[in-house]
Amino acid sequence: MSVALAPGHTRRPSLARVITVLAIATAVIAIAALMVGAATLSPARVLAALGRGLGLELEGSHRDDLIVCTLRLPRVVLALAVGAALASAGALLQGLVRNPLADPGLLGVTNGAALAAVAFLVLGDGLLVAAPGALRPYVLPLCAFGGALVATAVVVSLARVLGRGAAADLVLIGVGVAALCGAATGLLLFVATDAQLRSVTFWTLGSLGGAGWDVVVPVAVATALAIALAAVRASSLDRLLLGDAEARHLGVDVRRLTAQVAVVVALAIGAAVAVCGVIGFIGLVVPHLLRAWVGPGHRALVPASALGGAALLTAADAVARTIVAPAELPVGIVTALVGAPVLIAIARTRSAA
Amino acid sequence: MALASEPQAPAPTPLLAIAACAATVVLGIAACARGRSEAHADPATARIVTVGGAVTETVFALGAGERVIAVDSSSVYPEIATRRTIVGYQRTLAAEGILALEPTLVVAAAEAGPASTLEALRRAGVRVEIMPAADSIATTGARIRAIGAAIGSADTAATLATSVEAAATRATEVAPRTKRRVLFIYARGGGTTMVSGKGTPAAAMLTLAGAESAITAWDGFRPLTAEAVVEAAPDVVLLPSRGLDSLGGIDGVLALPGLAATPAGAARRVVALDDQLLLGFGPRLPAAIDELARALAAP
Amino acid sequence: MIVADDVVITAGGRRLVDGVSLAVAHGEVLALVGPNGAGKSTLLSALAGDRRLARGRISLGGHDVATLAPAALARLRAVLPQRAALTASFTALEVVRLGSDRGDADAAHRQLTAVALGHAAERLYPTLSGGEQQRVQLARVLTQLDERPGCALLLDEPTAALDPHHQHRVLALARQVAAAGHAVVVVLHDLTLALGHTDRIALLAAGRLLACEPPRAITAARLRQAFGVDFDLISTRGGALAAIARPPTALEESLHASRPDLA
Repeated sequence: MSVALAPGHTRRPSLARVITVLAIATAVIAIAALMVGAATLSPARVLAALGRGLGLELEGSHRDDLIVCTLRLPRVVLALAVGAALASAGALLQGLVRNPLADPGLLGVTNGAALAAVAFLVLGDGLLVAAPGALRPYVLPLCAFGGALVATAVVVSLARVLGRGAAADLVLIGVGVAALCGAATGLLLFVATDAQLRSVTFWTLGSLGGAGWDVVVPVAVATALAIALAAVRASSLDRLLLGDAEARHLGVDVRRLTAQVAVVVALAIGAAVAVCGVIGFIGLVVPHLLRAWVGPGHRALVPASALGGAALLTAADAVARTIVAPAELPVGIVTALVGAPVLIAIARTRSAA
Repeated sequence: MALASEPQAPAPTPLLAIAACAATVVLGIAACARGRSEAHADPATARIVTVGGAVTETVFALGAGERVIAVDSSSVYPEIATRRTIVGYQRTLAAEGILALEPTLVVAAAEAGPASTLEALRRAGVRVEIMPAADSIATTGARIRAIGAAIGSADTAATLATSVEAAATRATEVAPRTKRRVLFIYARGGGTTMVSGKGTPAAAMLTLAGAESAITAWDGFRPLTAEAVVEAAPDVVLLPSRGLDSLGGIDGVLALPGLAATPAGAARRVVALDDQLLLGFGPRLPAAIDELARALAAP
Repeated sequence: MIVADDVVITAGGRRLVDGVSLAVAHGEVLALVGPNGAGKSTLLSALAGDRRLARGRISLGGHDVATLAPAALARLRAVLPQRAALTASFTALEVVRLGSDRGDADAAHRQLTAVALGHAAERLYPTLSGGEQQRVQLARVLTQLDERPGCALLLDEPTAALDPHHQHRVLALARQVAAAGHAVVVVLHDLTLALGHTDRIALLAAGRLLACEPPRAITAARLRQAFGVDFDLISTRGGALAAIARPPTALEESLHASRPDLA
């Protein structure tokens, strides 16, 4: 800290420091998010409601309990989980395709998941009937996962075919894939009944309004898988950044690792989309900003991105539910309003470099 | 109402229509007076949130307007309702936002949602009453009665419902049978334009107004295509007025695929009515039938 | 340690490598030289285990490379590519540490110093010059071999982006690696560098091995056969060898143009 660094030199923060700082920031944001909402509740009342939720005998109204423990708390927890899923998946995908502009949304992965979900909602009644009763609640998330997996496979294979130096082409392909999925989704909307359309409009802008404790679990599990993979395979993932051939020369089984990352990314995106619809830019903005601080090494970047994404989405959702109260903005609009200028700024600094 | 067709001749039997409307208005005012005394003392219905344009209209028509603390974004009539707090789009309501207003009763149209929000409201102790949909004179009356029951103005509602049903039936009877084939177009956001076949609220209004839907081969809404339009060969095109604006006026409408080749296109017969009036199936139904009939009959 | 036995590699009907056999022992530095398209890089990547052979066999330390998994191969040989695809903002030290399974920072520092970049350990790799980046990659590759006896080091044109001082330094390093008990094969464009820094030179042309001899045994006739140009082989006062190409005459130019296969 006391030694000034010459330009171009970098001193990396330790992993412990990174995690501590981000964890504290996330906790602060999460608590702040619990304090705000369309209904004005003083922090004391919020804390009392939380205490009652934990079983403490505290004074307060049933309405406070409902607002804090049944509406806000699951929603904040879901925002943390989905934000973590999107950001860690984004960090992994960027390493896999060696492109810091790879956002699951930009590359059509989220649209692929959404398309599969919409296809199921509009066409899939047969699937639902055929599935055994116990599996029925999982058919939709499984479809979203399948769609995400197919889209990820398409994007990754195209990235490998194009090779290095094709960063801009990759984004174009992703935009194309996203547009294709959007067109297919639009086609499905044509043939949708009004009731189906109601279910489907949910997907286009993304919303955390369906929060409940049961939907948090698959998202949290998928995120945990992403972080675990990054932790266990960090050095191999870093070696991938050298290039496929160089990674192979260093002993990395490139094909197998690519498949593992693709599956984990698809799981995380599929789970997030199944629960909340399409929420963009988190997977792009968070890893990008954090990379400047913690470096491109996966051991630090992926868990840091998970925390950063959790914090960012929770903050965005807090804005979404208060800025036009008593109505709500779809959270995808807020993330787009934040993400688009950041994306433009990134593109400008890259072209200047 | 935006009458977008060419200059018209005076409509037949306007007197009966005016009389029917006047009767409804007078009865409505009377109902207001009664409504105030009838239910304002009951705390259970003292703070009402209304969701759905026709539901809001009806609640105000029943004299309970001052008990309404908030409405949804589709509640555009009466004008005073638009000055209430707006809770958002009826299909994507936010539970916390509504709870913050501390309502005692939510009266919602059938389309209101999502289900999780309504569920959360109920758990918070707010009474949530979902009203049946309406797409005919009978169901309009039924909905008025249901709303009345919900807000504790059952008697007022009965009176209003009866008068609306009667006036609407009258308006249907005196509507000139033009036998004109009418194509109903609606611009469903995102650039897609749909046309109505049978079995839609729009088709029901056309029947009430003495006209025919140009498309009777299938039910519901389908995307507008040139073949469908030319085959339908409508004499008049009908749109909600917001749809007309979004398509760019009469010229925009006539530029849609296939329309120029139809009798409606040739004669530039495009009729637009206020969205809520045309499809609301609320207390203004008699006036809606009347206006629509006259607009469709115009040369 | 490295044995290539009658290796044939084809692509699109052409023979990129046409029946090449050679062997490189521990402690030896072999240069692959020849004109463009002679198959030098193809042969090198085959020695690394990256190519499917149409015929023949390549073995490292007695193991057929075709039978080895990537992890096993990585313990037997290290490869320095011609061009690095790395754009991520690692520091130089972080890049070098990627070579070591344990991410050993000390070994990485040592190798960075060996390539004269010890001072640049905390510099961001993308901010380095092309030559510096090349040396960082070399340090990484050397780290892979660190404390592993009897491996192969394969270098594809390691001197391409370097100035003369560093060219000599890199090749001196290659000689040190060989002296430490490894087998080194290096593709070189510059004949004089090959003549001055290697134990044997494998002269390739059109996929075939024309000669595989110590520098002093390479003749001008052989060079002409490979490159289609006359060379003056010179011995300097310091005892070093140099090969200087004579510019082709007009007659030779037109001959070359009409019969490129004689190149």
